[in-house]
Amino acid sequence: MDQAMQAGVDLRARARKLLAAIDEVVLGKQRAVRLAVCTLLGRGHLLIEDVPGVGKTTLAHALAAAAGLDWQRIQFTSDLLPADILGVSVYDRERGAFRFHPGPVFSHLVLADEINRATPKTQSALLEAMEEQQVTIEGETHRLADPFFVIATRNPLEQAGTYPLPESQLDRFMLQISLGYPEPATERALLMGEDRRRLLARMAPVCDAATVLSLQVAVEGVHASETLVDYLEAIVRWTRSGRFHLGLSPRAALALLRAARAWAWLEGRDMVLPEDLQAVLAAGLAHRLQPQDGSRIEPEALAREIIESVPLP
Amino acid sequence: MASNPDRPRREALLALLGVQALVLLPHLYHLPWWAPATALLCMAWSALRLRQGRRLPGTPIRLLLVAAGTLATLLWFHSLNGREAGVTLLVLMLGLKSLELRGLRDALFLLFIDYFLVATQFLWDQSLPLVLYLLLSAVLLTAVLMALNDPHGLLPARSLLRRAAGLTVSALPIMLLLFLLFPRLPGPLWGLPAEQGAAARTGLGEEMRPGDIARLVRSDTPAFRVRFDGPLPPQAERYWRGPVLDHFDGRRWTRGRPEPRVHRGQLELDRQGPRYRYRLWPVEGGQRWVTPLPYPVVLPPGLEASGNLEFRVDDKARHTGPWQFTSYTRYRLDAGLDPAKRQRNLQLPPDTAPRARALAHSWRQAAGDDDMAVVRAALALIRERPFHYTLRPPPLPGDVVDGFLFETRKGFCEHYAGSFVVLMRAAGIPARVVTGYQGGEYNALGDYLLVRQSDAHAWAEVWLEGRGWIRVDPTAAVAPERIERGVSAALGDAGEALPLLLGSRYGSNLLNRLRMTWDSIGYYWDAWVLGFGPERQAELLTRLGLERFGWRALILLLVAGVLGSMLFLMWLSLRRSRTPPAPLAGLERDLRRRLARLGVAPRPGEGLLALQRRLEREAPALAQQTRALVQRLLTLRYGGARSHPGELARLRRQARRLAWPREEKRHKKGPHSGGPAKTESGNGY
Repeated sequence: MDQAMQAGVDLRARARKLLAAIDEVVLGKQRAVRLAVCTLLGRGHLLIEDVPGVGKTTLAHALAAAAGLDWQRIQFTSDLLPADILGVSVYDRERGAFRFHPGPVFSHLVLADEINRATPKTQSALLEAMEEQQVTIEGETHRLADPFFVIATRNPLEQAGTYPLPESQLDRFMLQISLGYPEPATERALLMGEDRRRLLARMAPVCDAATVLSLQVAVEGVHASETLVDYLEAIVRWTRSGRFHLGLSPRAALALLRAARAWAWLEGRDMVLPEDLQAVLAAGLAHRLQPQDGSRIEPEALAREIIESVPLP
Repeated sequence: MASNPDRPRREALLALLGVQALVLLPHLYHLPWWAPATALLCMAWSALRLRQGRRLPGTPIRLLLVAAGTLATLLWFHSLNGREAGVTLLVLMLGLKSLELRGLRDALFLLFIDYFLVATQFLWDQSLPLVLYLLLSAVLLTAVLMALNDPHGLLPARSLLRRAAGLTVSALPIMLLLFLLFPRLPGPLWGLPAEQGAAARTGLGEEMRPGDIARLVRSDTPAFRVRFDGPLPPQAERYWRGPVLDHFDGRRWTRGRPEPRVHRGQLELDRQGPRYRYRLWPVEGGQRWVTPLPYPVVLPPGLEASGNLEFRVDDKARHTGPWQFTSYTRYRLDAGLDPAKRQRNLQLPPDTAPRARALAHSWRQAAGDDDMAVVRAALALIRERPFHYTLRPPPLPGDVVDGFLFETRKGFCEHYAGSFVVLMRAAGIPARVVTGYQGGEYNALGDYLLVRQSDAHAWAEVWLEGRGWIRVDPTAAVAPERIERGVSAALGDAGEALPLLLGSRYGSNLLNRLRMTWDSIGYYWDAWVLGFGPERQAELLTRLGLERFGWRALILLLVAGVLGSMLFLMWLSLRRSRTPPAPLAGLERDLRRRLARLGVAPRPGEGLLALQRRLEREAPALAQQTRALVQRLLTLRYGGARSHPGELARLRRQARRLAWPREEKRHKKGPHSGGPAKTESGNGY
């Protein structure tokens, strides 16, 4: 018991260090960083929707470096093929047999940059790998790394030659965040400070893959009471009331709960409170709901509306 | 098999048969025993087959049984109509129907017949214990109905029972409305005239022979209840007058030629002495005879009096509820006796009781014209010779009167009254036997007098020149305590065994109180539920100011009331489904309300933790008080912790007592009452 508690304290300290290390590189984005770490700890995948040049790659890189995970970046283009992600079997003349060359998806953290530029076929290859945590190539099943964490980015502007992800695929991302332009003061610090790339190179990992796994286990142990589930249910029901093309799916509800668990754990609690759910709500809704009237969704405003209109249990 | 929705689960079918057996059981009392027994056997057979998963008997066997059952009913009753025959047939067919219990359709058919069968019990008995039993049966039937409609067995038995009970309870207001407002027919609700006259009366008989009243004495069931407006008559005055027996054939006393119904309305009596006003409730299913105190001056409508002043229910009047009487216990009746009547009351069969006759003649000779002296002589005989009062007199095979008076000298009121009248008649004094009840027990809880069948009594009346009929109770001469204190007291010395309850009448105080409580419940049931007839209903309408509209008002009220209560129930169930009852949620609400009253404006969607943080920033004085409470409440609501006994009440008290500290009240209340105030001190959380 004491040992377990000690381990819990240690894990929390480790998580705090992880957050601090990322914050050192990604300036002024504490909330986004925390949501990103929540996604990692809740065994989900993260979608970042933002204009180019606001630090998406930096965030992914910093997260990978601080967590001690190996990572690969895949730039999605219209001519990217599934094999470019998953890997190929090549005939090995010396051994007289096919040999599997694992693709970039075989790493702990995959940064899928501008995912909406690739063809649906390629997109779905990645998304299936995300869902199953394994790939099957020519009848052979290969397990992916554990932990396995995908950060995908997409450009919000309508552009020629993009293939928007369908709702069913978007639902597989636990949370979607956007970084946005930095505050003037932060931007100043960024400009005045050291080069990010050099900082990243110097960054010492505070965790390793095994620690991330035990963090994920710890998060799973956070208690979600019936009262809280009632609240989650009420929120989900609210989104299904006809204002949106599709309300939140059960998978979405599950994702929200897992994210809230991670958020609560990062807050130092062993139980999920309505506040935790409220904290991850905007990020959980952003990519899932599409208003019937075709307007663009404002995640933060929508989350506030939901919080104010769905009564607390 | 279990998943076919048309095929109810075997457990549900077995439960149906079980509950059906419960519904049938009371019918063993009043139907010929073979009918419910056959039905129960058929059901047991069916249940056995179901349990073993075997096929039920085929069509030829069932057809044969149907024919046999119909024939048996026909042979027994010579009819298939009427209460007994009809219900017997229904019970038999229900049993046979259980033999083809296959699908949902058969089960539902049986079930609805069972509901009907529950109602048929009221044709015989409307007492409170039976009503409770039948209510329970109805709840069980409803539970079975739900089980039948739950082919996958999703609901556990307990939850079925709870729901069935809930449904029954929610039907109560509508039941009450129907009871109060459904237009009443005069007469008992279930009265069937054909059987009314034929049914045997267990109370007083119209004849008397030794042994008849002894049986009654042992029965502890209530006969009637009386409530007096004013003081009760003393125990020795409580002679409740029943049928008069004036014809003796040597062994048997009977009502002679039925007297023409001479009295209606006002009775011609020379009345004196104290007056008693009272209402008398016969026990439901009770007698045809009504036994007031002698003598009521005005006959209540629905009652007729014979020339011998016996009071009888007029069957045509269909009276329900209590009889209202005013009686004078001192009176002069028949100051002049017409010769025919005189003759009838001197009648003695020839050759009976030679020794008694001889004795009576000797008294007459000694007394000359003084009839009263003869009466005194007879009473002296009974008092001074070794006579005994007993409920188990030795048999009197020979001459009843002589055998009793000169040999056995052991007997109860009938022996004394009968022999006394024979002595009087032999001495030329017109005399007759009067049966009825004597005494009664006062129930302080219900403020009424309870008279039981065990208080049945017989005494004598003699006619004296100039004084009319006067009552003489020879039993009082041998066992005065019978009159002063009741039967048990009279038997006390004899040490005769009586049923436990009767015997303990003057014994255990607690037991007695329980009995009196139980009886007063029965009294209120009779008085207020069974006695709610057209008159009471009219009274209710008058009280509501609706009497002018008559039955239209009743129907209107009924429809409006039923609709209203259904709407109310719907609203109730909707409301309940909206807010599940949760003490912890209530506690949180209390806390928030208290804080709002203290000026901390509520914000929509603000969780407790966020609220606490706001307090820490903006109202540290309150935050300090709420910190532990909020922490505990969050752990209870969201952390899966269980509250200790009494903790919730304590927390609730704590929440209600939140207050601003004295010195801060003046300064802080202002800014906080408008809404969230800016932090005044710099120590934000």
